[in-house]
Amino acid sequence: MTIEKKLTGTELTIALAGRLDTTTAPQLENELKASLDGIEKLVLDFSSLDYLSSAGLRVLLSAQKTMNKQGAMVVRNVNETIGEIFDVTGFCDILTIE
Amino acid sequence: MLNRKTWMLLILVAVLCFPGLPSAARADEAPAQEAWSTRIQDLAEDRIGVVTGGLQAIMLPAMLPNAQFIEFNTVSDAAMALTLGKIDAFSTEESVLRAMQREGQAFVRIDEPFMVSEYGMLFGNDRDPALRTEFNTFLAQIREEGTLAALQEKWFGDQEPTEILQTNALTGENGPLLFATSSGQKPFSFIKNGSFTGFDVELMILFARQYGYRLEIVDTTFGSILAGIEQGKYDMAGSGVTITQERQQTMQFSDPYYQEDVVMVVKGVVGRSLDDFQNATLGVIDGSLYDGFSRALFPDAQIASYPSFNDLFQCVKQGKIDGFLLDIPNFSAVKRTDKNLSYITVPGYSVEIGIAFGKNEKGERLQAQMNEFLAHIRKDSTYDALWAKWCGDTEPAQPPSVPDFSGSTEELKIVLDLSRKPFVYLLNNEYAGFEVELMYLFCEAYGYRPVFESAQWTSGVAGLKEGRYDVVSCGIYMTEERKESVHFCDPYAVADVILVIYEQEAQAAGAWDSLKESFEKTFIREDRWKLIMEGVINTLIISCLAVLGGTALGFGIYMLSRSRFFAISALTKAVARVYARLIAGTPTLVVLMILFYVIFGKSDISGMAVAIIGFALTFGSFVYSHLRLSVEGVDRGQREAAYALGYTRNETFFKIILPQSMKAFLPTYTGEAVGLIKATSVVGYISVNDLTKMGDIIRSNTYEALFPLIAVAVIYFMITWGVAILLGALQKKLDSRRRREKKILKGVIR
Amino acid sequence: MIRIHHLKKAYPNATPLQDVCTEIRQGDVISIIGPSGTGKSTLIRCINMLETPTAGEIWVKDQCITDKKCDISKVRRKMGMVFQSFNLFPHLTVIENIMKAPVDLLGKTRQQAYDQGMQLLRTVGLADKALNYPDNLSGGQKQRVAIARTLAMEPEIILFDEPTSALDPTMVGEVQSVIRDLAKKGLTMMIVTHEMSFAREIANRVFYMDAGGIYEEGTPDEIFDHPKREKTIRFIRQLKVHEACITSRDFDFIGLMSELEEFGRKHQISQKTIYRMQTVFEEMCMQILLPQMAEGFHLTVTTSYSQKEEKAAMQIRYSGKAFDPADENNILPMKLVENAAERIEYLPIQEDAFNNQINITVK
Repeated sequence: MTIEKKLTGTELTIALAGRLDTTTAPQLENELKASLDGIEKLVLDFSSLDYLSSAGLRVLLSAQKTMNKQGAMVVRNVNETIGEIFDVTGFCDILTIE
Repeated sequence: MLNRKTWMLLILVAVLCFPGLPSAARADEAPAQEAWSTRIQDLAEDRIGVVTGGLQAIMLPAMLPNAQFIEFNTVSDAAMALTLGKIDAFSTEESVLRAMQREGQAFVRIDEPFMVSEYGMLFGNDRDPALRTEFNTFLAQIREEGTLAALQEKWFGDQEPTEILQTNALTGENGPLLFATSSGQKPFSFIKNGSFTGFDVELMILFARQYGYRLEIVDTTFGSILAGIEQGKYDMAGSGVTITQERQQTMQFSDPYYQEDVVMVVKGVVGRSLDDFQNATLGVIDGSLYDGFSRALFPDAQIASYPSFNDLFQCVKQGKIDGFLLDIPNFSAVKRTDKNLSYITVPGYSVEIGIAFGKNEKGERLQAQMNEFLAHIRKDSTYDALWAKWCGDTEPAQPPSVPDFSGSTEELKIVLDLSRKPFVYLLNNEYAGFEVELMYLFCEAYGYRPVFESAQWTSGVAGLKEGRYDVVSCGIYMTEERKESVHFCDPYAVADVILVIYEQEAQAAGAWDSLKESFEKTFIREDRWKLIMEGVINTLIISCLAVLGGTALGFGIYMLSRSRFFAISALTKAVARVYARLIAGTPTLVVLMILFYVIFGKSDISGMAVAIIGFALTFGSFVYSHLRLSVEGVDRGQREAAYALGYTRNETFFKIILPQSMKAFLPTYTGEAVGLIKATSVVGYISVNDLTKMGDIIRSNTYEALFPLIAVAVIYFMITWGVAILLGALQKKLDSRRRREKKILKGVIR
Repeated sequence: MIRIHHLKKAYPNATPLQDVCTEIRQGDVISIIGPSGTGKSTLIRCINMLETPTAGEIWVKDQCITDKKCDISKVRRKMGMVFQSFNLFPHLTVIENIMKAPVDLLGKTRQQAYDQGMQLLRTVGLADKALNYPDNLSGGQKQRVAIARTLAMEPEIILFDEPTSALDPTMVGEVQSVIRDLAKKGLTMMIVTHEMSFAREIANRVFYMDAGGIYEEGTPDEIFDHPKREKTIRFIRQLKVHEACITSRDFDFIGLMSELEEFGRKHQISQKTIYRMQTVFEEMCMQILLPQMAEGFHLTVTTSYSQKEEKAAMQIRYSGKAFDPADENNILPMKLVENAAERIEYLPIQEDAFNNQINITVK
């Protein structure tokens, strides 16, 4: 999975490409841990994300929790399959999906 | 246009006409070197033919180490080579040469004896030694009776004998006597009118008659005779075999039955001897030395006088005279201009050539000086170089360089007769020639200044007498008569006298005539066509039996290799594979020779049987391999379909598989069978008289190469063509796809 | 009529028949189906001894044909065989092909053989080709002639070895109709074929060959509609299967995921389904099961896809304790699994090493 970061002031945009699964979730987790200090808005761009598993969901949950203290988190460009996952798991209520 | 058949006929006729053409060309084929001189050493760097295994092959290379020696199977082959110009000379016995000359061969011997040959009969090793004792007793007896001398007179004389002994009058109560000979050796052993004849053969007939043997004659090559004797294949052998020390180490000879000179043979003039000119018209220069010679040699001839040598050359060319006497150096100079000029040696006559001086004090002085000078230049190689330059093969391009005579005091008035090439003549408008250069050197050595004047030599001699001239130089012949009027120095050359003649080109013969003559010689004379018929029959017998035998053999081995018993089939296949490799890698001729000389060496088996066996073995190997391939080429499914229908293994093979394999098998098979016919042409090497060998025999008797060989080739072609057509028709009959409905539905009503 | 006892046929590289026992009764029309290389052709080729069995016996009407002393050619005359590659005799005309064996082997006169041959040709519809050579005929015509050729021997059983496999689809029908007629006449036949509908239609018994023998046997309805055993099912349903076996936590996850991807692509499974299969695997195995497995565990995932029905299924078997769906950690993954699955079955106790089995039908 490739992670692309774009920082504009206190807004961090992270674009994910590929699969967010058990093997790649730790990669995202580390990235977030390292970059979230002082960020007020976290934008996650899922336009190139093909696959999402529960491991990925857990990382998103933890990120959401962190951002709730610091500012806001938004998930963008979710495809049909991943949208379905969010619906079925109830994450559509936890995350802000645009 | 013309259809194919007509084209083939035209080509055939054209091919047959070829033999005629070269006979016109033959006269043009000048030999590499004519017999300039009659010395063997002159051949030091030439090509010399010798018969394989003969005495000369061993001794001559030691005598002429730089010469090129070429070996031939028979002396007839060597003679043919000499005629065609492939060699310059060959060596044989005097009697053989005479036999050839009687046959019309244009050969002469170099008159220098160098060897003597003793002839004896050979006895097969390990065979009954009593035979040899018997024969030697017989020899001693007929020698005493004079029969031997009479026999020698008959065969080694001048004429070829007409009455010959027949072999079938022998009783043979004491059993057979196997006698091997090589039938290309006239007059010892050759074939006439289809039977063996010659000195050796007749001697054997007499011997067999007296001692009650039935003579059985086997014809083979000279080398095979020696090999066969060593192996004990034959009881006796004879073919003008020379007794040598080396041979005596491994073979038994009888006492010698004849002895004669060994000579070196070169090309001479076609059937001409001096006797031919007894009633001819000969040219001379009036009053000359040769005038006297001519009248002495040819008392009945007509003598015509001409002013000069040039006139004589012209006249002999034009046919106004039949010939004239001359010496070799003078001839050589002119000979180069016209290759039709030739000569006949005049034995016992030679001329001395020298320089004339006046019969006075000065002349005496010059004479002494010249003699001294000549002696001197003979010692160092100046003389030889000078002679080689002016009297050799090629004419010098430049006149001799004139030395500087400014320091000389005394004048020497020299008359030059410029019509005496190569001694004195004009070259590029300058004085040139052997004598001219000699004079230059002489004057330079003795401090004279030469003053040349050109004049006829007769006036020159007259002037000598009057003291007007000091020297007359023109290659003068020193005669007794002339010695009275002038002083001669020692002769600076001694030249052989020859009769100069002119050979017309053999145009008169014409292609058609020579073709007719060749035909007559090859087929008609001595019923030689019978030999050819015998050869054809033998070739066909060998071919047919070999093909049949080979097919049966190959087929049999193949069937064995298909055996149900693994041991048999595996063994057969392994042996067959090794055998096929051996055959494929060995030339058929070598196989035949191994069979004949090694495997069947000790037994009495005939060459024909060996040939049939040998070819059957090689053909069988091919049949096996090819049959196996053809059968394997049939689709596997065919076998399965047959089995499924209920055919047994053998039924399947013979009824289903084999017929289908013939499609691939037959074309190559017929091709190989036809090829076998041609391949049998080598059986001559194991003493079988097949078509090729017969052609060879005729060739060696007639000394003609082309007609017999081409005739044999044509006959082979016709045989193979005929057989191919036959086999092709057979194939068509067997081709299942070409059947008509009637054949397919044979025995069935629709 | 034919009894086969523990027939075995082994080659150096493979053993297509390990132990075959069966009986063939008169009037049976048996279709033999199965994947390639499973000994279908080998079986019938053993019956007429074109292949020699490595072990076992074959009895034809109380005669043991595997016995060395048996005259097999005689027996074969009563059996006919039709080959995939026809194997007509190319150097003979059609009528001669048919006449040859009766004349050579049954002692018939040429006229008798001819008449019978022409009659047979009429039956197969090729009387006008009697004087043609085989290479003038189309594949279908050749095969019909081949059938006529075997019929000329009046066999008691005909063995067909993939009779239409080498034919153009347009010609398959004409040959099948000839075979159909023969079946109607009551001839005993064994047909090895890949044509499923034909195999079903014509036979009264179907052999499914697999795993070294007759894996399953039954009536056409039984085999085609209700196959009982696993491999039969897979074959009938044209199942494609992928198996993964995991015995250690450090197995190659990424590798397995891409294997699933490859499997899907190879069998042209839709991307969504592939995605769901991967989800099922990841969630079920990685997230739920693996964390709870004890030392020395076994876990297998069998993914099967039916091309016929275009449905994917995954069967997960594992050792040890069954998992608890109510466990907090499992809720999230389970949700994903449930979303991906059409049906989930839990079978807690099974034989062999696995205690638990979950069958999931993937959407």
